[in-house]
Amino acid sequence: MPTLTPASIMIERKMTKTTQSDIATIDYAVREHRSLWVDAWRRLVSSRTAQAGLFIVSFLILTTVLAHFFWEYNPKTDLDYTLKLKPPTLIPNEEVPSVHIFGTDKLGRDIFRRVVHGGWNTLMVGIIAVTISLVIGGLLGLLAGFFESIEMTRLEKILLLVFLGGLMGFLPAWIAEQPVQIVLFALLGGAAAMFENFLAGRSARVVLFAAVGLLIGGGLALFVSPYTAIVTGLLGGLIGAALSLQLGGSLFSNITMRAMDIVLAFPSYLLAIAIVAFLGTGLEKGMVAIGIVSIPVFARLVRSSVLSVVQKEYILAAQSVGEGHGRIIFRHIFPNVLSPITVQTTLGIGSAILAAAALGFLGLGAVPPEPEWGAMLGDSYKYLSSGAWWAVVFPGVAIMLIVLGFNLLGDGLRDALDPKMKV
Amino acid sequence: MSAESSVLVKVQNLTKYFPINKGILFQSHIGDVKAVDDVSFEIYSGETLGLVGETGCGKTTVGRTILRLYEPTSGHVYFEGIDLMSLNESGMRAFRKRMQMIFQDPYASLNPRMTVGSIVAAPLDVHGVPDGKDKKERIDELLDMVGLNPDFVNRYPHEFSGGQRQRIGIARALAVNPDLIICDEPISSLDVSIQAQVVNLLEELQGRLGLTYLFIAHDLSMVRHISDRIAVMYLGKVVELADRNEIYLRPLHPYTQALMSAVPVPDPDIAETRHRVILEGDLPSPAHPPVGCNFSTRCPLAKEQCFTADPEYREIVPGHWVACYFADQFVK
Amino acid sequence: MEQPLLEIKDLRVTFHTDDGTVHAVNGVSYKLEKGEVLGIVGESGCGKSVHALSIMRLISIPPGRIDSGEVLFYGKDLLKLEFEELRQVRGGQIAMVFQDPMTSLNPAYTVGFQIMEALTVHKKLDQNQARDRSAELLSLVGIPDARRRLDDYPHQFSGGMRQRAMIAMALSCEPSLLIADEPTTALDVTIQAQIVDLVKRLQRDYGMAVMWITHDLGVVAELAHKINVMYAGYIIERGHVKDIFKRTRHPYTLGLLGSLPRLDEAPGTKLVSIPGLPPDLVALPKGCPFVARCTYVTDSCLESMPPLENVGDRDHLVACWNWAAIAEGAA
Repeated sequence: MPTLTPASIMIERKMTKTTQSDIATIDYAVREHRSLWVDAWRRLVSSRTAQAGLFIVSFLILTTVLAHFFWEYNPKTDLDYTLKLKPPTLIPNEEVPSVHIFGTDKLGRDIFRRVVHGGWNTLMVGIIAVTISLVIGGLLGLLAGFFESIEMTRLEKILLLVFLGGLMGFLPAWIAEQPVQIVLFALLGGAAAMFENFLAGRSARVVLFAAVGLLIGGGLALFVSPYTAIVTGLLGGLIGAALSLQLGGSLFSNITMRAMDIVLAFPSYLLAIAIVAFLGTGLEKGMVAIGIVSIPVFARLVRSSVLSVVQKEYILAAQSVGEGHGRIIFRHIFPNVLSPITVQTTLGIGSAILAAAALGFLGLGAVPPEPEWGAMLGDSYKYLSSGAWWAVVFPGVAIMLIVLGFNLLGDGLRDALDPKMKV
Repeated sequence: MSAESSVLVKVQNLTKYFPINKGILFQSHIGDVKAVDDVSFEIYSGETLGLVGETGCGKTTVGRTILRLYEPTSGHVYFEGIDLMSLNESGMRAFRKRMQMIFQDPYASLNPRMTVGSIVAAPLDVHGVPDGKDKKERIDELLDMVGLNPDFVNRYPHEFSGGQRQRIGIARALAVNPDLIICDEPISSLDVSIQAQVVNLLEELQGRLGLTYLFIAHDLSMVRHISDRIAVMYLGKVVELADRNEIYLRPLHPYTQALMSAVPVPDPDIAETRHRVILEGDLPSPAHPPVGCNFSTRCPLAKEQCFTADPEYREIVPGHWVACYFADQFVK
Repeated sequence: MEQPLLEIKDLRVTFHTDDGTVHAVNGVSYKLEKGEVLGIVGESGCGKSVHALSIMRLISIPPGRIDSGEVLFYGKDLLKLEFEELRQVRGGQIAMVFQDPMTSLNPAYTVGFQIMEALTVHKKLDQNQARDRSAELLSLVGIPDARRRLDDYPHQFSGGMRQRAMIAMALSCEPSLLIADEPTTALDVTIQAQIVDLVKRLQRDYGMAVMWITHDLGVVAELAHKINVMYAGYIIERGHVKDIFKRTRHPYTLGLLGSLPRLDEAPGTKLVSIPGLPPDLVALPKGCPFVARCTYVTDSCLESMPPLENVGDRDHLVACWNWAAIAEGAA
């Protein structure tokens, strides 16, 4: 190997000397300094799609919020049969003495006013329904994905089993109308995790815990009626047996995700309708129903994102440093799964609004006379044949616009937050 | 390293099997990937022990199991005589401070959403700043130590090149003044000219801070350059362990011999003349290792006994361990 | 003088990205004779792969663009060929093997089907002939029990075997040039030794030319007749393998050799590392691109890029203003 000592052939050097210890001084960062979020925001505002989405969404939100707070409207008193189904009127005349730029509906109400105010309800449905599915689905997905790859600590195992015990105990407690059973089953779950080596033989353990479960379920219910005691006792035994198995991370993930698959197996609108039918009609019930239906979407998305982040070496690095699970989740996993969640949330609001409109159209959403776009459509489509197109078109266009806006924004966000991430 | 130096880490009969499960809901155990199978060695204080082997030989798993990032199936790891496997999570924390790791992929081992400062500070947040210094001061000191400009604390990993990122990883590992650093292929994803920078840095830091390295790599020439002793792994087992010169001048295991001759030499004169042992076939799957000696399926020397019983891992001459029936013929 | 197999004249390739124009290949010219093994060495981003892909017009356009240059293959400019004619050259007379054996075979078809496809397209063989020939090729590249393995899918092959299958596919039409783009980088050393050995044997037996692109100087030392060393899109040194290793004249090549540890080095040897980083290809310096990392800088280095000059008696070209001083120092 040619070994050259630079000193022997040192030519007069005009540049700075670059010796070993000088690496620090010539070591420059190669790219411009900015955070990934700032980068994403720049990409977002520079994309036409996202600009359009952003404009539509912020315009509609702004008008809706302003109208809600500064333009009083009482739907209960708003009706005028003399102005029934009048076409859009810009200049007041003898027949229509007031301005109705969108026309009026079958009760003579100003459609413009109702569209603007109906936006509030529509947005509420979108936001609250997505919040429900995001929180529940996100949490389930996060836990499933995380514990599928990372072993649970003892404390986490105890907490999980307490939670699951309580959750399963809800059923016998409801049947026997004894809330105390929830607490007892939660304690049983905790005990199962705490004394994990107690009775190492699997079958003996199952029998013991089933017996305790039977006692909790059946014993307490004896105060209610023997018949109830039999039912809850059986349930309690099953719960006890299940708890004794000590749900590990991968089994928990498996059960959660299979449950999500079951929910997904139902056509979503049908399921939402069924839930509303069970809970009773009303805007709030609609929000809950739509929220529940889209839990699996978020659970699966978050789980798969978490799984891919958990494989990264920086998670291993965090573990090797000794960082705890909570810190790993919040500092390392959460920021890195935020991008797909943001995109899905935006798109989810759009589809929740659409679902709410469908429920409203079927008369399962907002209770009349409360303005809501879907319900307005449902009220008016009958008059389409008699030529009253305005009663249908304006709320319809409003729905289309807001859903389009959220979808465009979601697509723009997807490009901006580029899951492949520029390196 | 000299024989009288104290043993820092002693790995004894370490075994790690990854279970293969089948089934959707209730899984049944149908087999094991024998990633690490009964491995024993010692790391002396202040030395660099090189661990070489090909993809899938279990070298990375050994490193991670020592840190208990994986729970071993059986076996012990003693750190200064204390069995790490007997400790619970809080007992382990005190030892995590003394053992750190540098990772292979400088792109995946740094959280892209965290600044350089907070990445390097992570161990300090968990274990506290050593010597009661100011945290910010310590971060500056660390960045300076690895040859990065301390002004970069607020920058993100994506603004740096591969070699610079690896320096950030090294700074993180050094943060809490560890005794042992497990370097898991720290240079294999870097360009040749950058590799030398990082290796020189690691050597310089070892001299300055008295670190002990377990240097895991597949590049035999780099391992020989940096290590004092070298252990060669094949399919979950250590097949040979000796001083760096001893193993180069007198490789006793046929796998080591083949590995040595497969390393390309950047010298056309030597390349023309030297004799190469080309191994037949591929690595068997660690889920179904061969019966008998693991290397028997590819070994040019294999005889009947190799296919029936595993050769003993023995100290054939002082300081030179090998697991082969025929090693004696090469001891001259 | 006989016409060379491949002659590249002043090839320039750029990529137009959001961050600016990336100058990937900046005026590359060289000749490749029939039956010659040419090693192309350089670090990531030096343009070695891009230039090879440009020969076959395989870079994606846009963002890529071939700004100028000629690629004369048997005297025909590949950059000006009609697409149909180019297709005949691709896979027919010039074959390529890529770095990642895991993704370069289509997982949806059997290995045999994929080899036979090339044979039926280019050689117009019928099914049975193609099958026989495929089995022959697979056994040629050292896959045991070849006829049966034709019906295997890629996932049933190990990494080394897939790379062999890729080579078999490349050989199927008896190309006169095989371009191998980092073919052993993803493989273990013992498997790499197998593949290098195989290519050496096939090259000898078939007399084809090979362009072997790699960052590993050790591999080319064993395999190549001539070597091009590339840096920042330029060829900075070119010559016979012994000239490159024994009479090194460019400071970058010197640095590369110095940063490699050797199995036979003495204990305590320190690696000579090249300080700093390769230049940003969006904003190349005016002078020599190596200037910021070089230990032999003079005024002229800052002024302009040195041309490739012949420094020996047999085609040893170096692009450095100070090669004479370096030669003096080495002597």
